[in-house]
Amino acid sequence: MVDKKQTKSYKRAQSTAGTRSIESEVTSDSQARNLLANQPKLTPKSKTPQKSLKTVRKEQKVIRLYGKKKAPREYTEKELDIPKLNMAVNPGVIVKKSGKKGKVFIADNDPLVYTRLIRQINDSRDSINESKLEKSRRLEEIRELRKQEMERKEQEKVDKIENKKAEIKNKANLARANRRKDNKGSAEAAKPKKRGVSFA
Amino acid sequence: MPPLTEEETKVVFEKLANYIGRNITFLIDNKEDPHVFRLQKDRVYYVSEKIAKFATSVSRQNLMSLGVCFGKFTKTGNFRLHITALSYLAQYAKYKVWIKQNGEMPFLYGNHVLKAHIGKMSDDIPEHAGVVVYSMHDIPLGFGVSAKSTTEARGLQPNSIVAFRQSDVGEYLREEDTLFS
Repeated sequence: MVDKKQTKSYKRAQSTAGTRSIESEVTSDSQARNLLANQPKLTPKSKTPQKSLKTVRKEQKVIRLYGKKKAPREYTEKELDIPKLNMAVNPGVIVKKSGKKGKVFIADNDPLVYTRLIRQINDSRDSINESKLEKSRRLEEIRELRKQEMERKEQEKVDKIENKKAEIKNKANLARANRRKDNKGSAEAAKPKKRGVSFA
Repeated sequence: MPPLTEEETKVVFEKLANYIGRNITFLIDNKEDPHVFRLQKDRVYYVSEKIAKFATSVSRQNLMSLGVCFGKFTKTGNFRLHITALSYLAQYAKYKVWIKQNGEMPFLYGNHVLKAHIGKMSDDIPEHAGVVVYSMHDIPLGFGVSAKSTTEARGLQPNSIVAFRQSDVGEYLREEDTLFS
């Protein structure tokens, strides 16, 4: 049996099968179209669907009754008070550093710092034959001292804040107490003296 | 008269550790009479806390000295031990060298310690370690740095150096005018 695709008629049909659409120049060429007296399709169809007459009437009726709805106001950039440059905004108050910071002295008889220093210096000097375990233990002790120092520093900071808080609180309390006392005193002073009657 | 900062303390302790090792702890932990370090100009003083407090009543320019001067900071930031620190170094010394009577005078005139002058020495001295020099009557004469370890020093010639002199009590006379000013 002969394959259909191999027949001469099929091949001829395939080679001549191209279609051609004919479009008049009046529609495709804009210059030609301009020469026409009647120009029916010059304005392109709007993409938004047209409102039906019914809805338009309804809207007009509502406007007549309640007035036209105001469109939400659009602000200009000037009105919005936007910062001119794109700068970072400081979160909260930042105190500027100023002046020399000064030396930080070791407090007299500060056992933590002194013992740490002595250990560190001597450990680096002595060439000790030690196992890994011993070494790790030795280093751990130094680390522990450092940790304690840091904790102490933190604690000092917290204490400072707490002290200040307490001071402010006390101040307010004291002031309140004084005010009350004063008020009491003035109230007593303001009491009219009982008029007595004396007989001669 | 300020105390030392951590960096300064480190430099001073590194020098001290050459001679007294971990015995620095004894300088700091003195429960009966606590001592402190004080910096006056470039000199470091080791003072009883009580005296340091008294010293606050003297103005800095007028204060010449207080306590025991351990040494001074050089312009380059190193620390140099003075002979005045000898009493403490001798007390806590790690490595010791005793010199015979015939070696005392040469040492006190500023010479190094020779093998011929050595009466005895600590057993375990390594090379280039700080040693304190004593007379045979256990009187501290000065301090220096070992040139050879103890074992190596045994095989040395009599005229070879065992310890390099750093400081000796002869300086009290030789350096009299600069030692305390």
